[in-house]
Amino acid sequence: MARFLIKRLAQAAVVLLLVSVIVFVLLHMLPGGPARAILGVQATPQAVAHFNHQQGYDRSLPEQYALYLGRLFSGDLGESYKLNQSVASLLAERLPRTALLAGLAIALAAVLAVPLGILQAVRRGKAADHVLTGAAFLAYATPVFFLGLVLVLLFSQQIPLFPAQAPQADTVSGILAEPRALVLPVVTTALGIVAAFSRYMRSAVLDNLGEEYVRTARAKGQSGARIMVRHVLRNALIPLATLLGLYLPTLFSGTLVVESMFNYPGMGLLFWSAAQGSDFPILLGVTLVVGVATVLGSLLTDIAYAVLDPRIRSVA
Amino acid sequence: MTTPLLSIEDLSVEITGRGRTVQALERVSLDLAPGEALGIVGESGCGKTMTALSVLGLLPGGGRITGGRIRFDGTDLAAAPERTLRDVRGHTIGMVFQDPLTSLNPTMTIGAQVAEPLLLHTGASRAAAREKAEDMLRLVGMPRPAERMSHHPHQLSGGMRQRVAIAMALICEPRLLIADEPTTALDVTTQHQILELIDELRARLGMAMILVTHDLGVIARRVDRVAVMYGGKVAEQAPVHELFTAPRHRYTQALFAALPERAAGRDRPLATIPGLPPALDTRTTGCRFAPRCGFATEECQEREPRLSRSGGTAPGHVFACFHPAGPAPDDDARTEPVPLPSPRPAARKDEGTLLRLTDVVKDYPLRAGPFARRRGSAARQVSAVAGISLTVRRGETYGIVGESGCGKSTLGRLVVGMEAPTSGTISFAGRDITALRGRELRAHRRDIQLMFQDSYAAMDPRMRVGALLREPLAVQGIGDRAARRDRTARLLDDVGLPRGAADRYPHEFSGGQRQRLGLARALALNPALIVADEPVSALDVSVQAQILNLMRDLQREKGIGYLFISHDLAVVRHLADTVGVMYLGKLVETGPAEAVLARPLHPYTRGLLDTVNVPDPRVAPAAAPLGGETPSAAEPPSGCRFRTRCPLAREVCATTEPPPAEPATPGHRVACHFPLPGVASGVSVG
Repeated sequence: MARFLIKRLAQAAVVLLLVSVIVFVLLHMLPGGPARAILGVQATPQAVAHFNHQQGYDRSLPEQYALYLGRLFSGDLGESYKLNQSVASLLAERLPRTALLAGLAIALAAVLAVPLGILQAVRRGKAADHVLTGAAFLAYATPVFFLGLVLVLLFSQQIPLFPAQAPQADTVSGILAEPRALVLPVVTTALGIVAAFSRYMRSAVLDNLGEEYVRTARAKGQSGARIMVRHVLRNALIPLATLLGLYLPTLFSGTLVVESMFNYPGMGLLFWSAAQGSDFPILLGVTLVVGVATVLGSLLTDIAYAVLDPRIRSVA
Repeated sequence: MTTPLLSIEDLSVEITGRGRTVQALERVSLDLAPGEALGIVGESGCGKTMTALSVLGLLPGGGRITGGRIRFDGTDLAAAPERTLRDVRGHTIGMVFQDPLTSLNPTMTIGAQVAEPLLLHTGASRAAAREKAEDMLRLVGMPRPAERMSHHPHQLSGGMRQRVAIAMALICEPRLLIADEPTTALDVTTQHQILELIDELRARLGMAMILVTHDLGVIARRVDRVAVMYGGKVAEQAPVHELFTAPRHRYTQALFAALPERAAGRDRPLATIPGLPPALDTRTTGCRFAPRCGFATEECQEREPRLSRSGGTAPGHVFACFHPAGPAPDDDARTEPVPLPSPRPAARKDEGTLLRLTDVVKDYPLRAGPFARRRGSAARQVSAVAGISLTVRRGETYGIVGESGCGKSTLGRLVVGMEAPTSGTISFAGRDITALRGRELRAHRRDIQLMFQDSYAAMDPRMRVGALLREPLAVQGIGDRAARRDRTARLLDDVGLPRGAADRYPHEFSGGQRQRLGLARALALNPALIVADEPVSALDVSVQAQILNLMRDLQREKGIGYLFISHDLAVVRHLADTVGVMYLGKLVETGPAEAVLARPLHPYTRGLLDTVNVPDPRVAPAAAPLGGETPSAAEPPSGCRFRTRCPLAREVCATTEPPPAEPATPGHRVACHFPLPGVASGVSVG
């Protein structure tokens, strides 16, 4: 297991390095170069040259990349053009909030999708299965922004249960102090995931129920419910673990829409406003963070995989 | 007679699925006394497994008991609620299934799985259950049981997994063990060990047993009584000696006659049962076997024979047949009319060498991937084929025998050219095929074709049979459309299928018919050699005989050579001219089939022959069957690879690899430091 982890971590490091290369290249493709972007189109050539020299932009590309990487390691992601704040500090402020939103959504999705999937598998072909299948396809097919609007309309306007604006507090604990305001953003983010996960869970459970080890468990005298919990659940969660890691990038694009819709002060909202104001350092910083999150997500998947499936542990 | 422990009376079972209902069992009645062992034999689809599953209420989805009673220990299990059944399952009745690879939970530890029934059915504490589970593992012969408790199934070999399954079934010390094909998925030597283990545990725990199998060899020495099933009914039931010496039902008789072990001679075709077992979705009147029976009369079509005794049979011997075989042993079976064999075209055999392998080696790197390669020579590898030399002449059948993992399938793939050897040369008709590339290689592929164990898996399910048979012709650019169509029709004639088969899909055919299709496809390009990898091991005895006869007839007609790969000694003995015995990538013994299998020189060959389950209860058990398991090909033993299991091994065997020699007769080679004197084996196969 330890060897597997080390190997997997090494691979993740390589991928992260590649991500940094891509972001670096993107940085160099900024229209007119970073100098023009920062100093504006009116800047004199002297000012541009001075800026480039100051920032090291007149050196060779490998040298620049080394410098960039050095800055990256010291946590320097550059300055925002518009917000007069370092990208790193902005991200440090916003990332926990988005992580909270995404984490709550994933947790909610898992808590709902696993039992729903099991229920559908057990009741295969019966009314409950058909109804849930229909609901899942509907939720899956609905775009997040539309789903959010519908939820706001229903549960904020028609029946004023939850506020239409997300918590505005600065800290994670502050956000958690307003649980009612969190409901709509979290549910909006989670519903699509529930739909997808419950479908996967349903087919994984069905596959496993057809396996011979289930018949063996029945031959031992186990009841249906205990077979599900003791035998099938763990085997059926294996494919779901893969999905979870693969879903992280998708989840981010989901939060982007949700955050701007509910005015939730997270990374997505930051990205949204930066994109509108052409604030490239922020956009690139967020891109880097998402890249890292994606790599970590697949790393987590592999670890979950190894924990769940002893066969992977010994092969890897 | 004592009160039976289990009494099945008039049990009927229906299975509904995909819009049709199958009468899987019809009025099956069986009794089992405490401590008795009953064998249920029959071909696939005869209802033997359904009978076993019914007892525990474990019928597959769509299956239900439509009539009859299953009395066990005073309770009618057929009518019992699920709760009662759960109390019985794993507690007073234990069950072992066929495939140890899939019947254990892959993500649960061995210890937890073995202890599970105990926790369910007794008030045992977790600690006590674990302790008992460890004892149980020791009892089933698991080496280092304490360590194994925390292992997962994939860390064990097939035989060891089946031991775990047995430990699981027996941990509550049931009064009845139901074993459904417990050794079918295992190698000959492992099979023997598992059957011995079950016997021993049965004696120790005083259990009764129902042993379900298709293999008459397995049942011959292991049970007291046998029930033969056919078409969802019991055709005959008798004490085991009675049944094997004087079967009365015509089906039982034909089944025995179809065994390769009982073939009249190597040059005589096997007796076969024409046709296929009945599909049970239509109700038929009369005897189920009548359509395939050589003795059937109008009466058999109209009335259904009941199980009854008749004069001359021993007590407890009943059968359902209007025209039974005589009570005296060896009454002639009337099966498929056996044509007089055409004399084997001897001239062909000497036409010369077709295939020659010289020191062929195939190693597989154990770990593929960028990291493994960098370690270079230090990377571990699996030595699948380790220096094999052999010669196949034109029109000859060369049989390769060995247990799983011995490299016999790899050898087949090397010969066909699907893999390149690591070293050594393979020459075909005088040309070194390992050097062929591109167009030449493709042209060469015409001459060697492959026939698979599972022909169905090797066919595109969305292609019609006609297209499947034309494909090789199209790939090689032979003939135009019309010519290919014509060739397809003739191929179907050759393998005994109707020409209309060309318009159907593979799934519409039975197992035996699919093997015929596989053979037809292999024949499409008129090859000089067919590599047949276990072509009959998935088939029932009666169908197996049909395919073996067909292969032999086609060989006579077309002069094809076969490289016949099989684990089944009786089949190889029947078909092969020359035999090579493989062990861990080496040919340990080669020579004329007659000599090798009757007077083996290598202790491994001898062990295999002694271990094989002979379908005859009179044959005394072998004195020293093979023990242990085949070591991993990733770390083959030094010197002679067989030495770790060899009763004769001495120091020299570990240090020096034995060179091949011909100590007995010319052409009979053996690689052993201490070859056997070459006397007839105690057990004869056939």
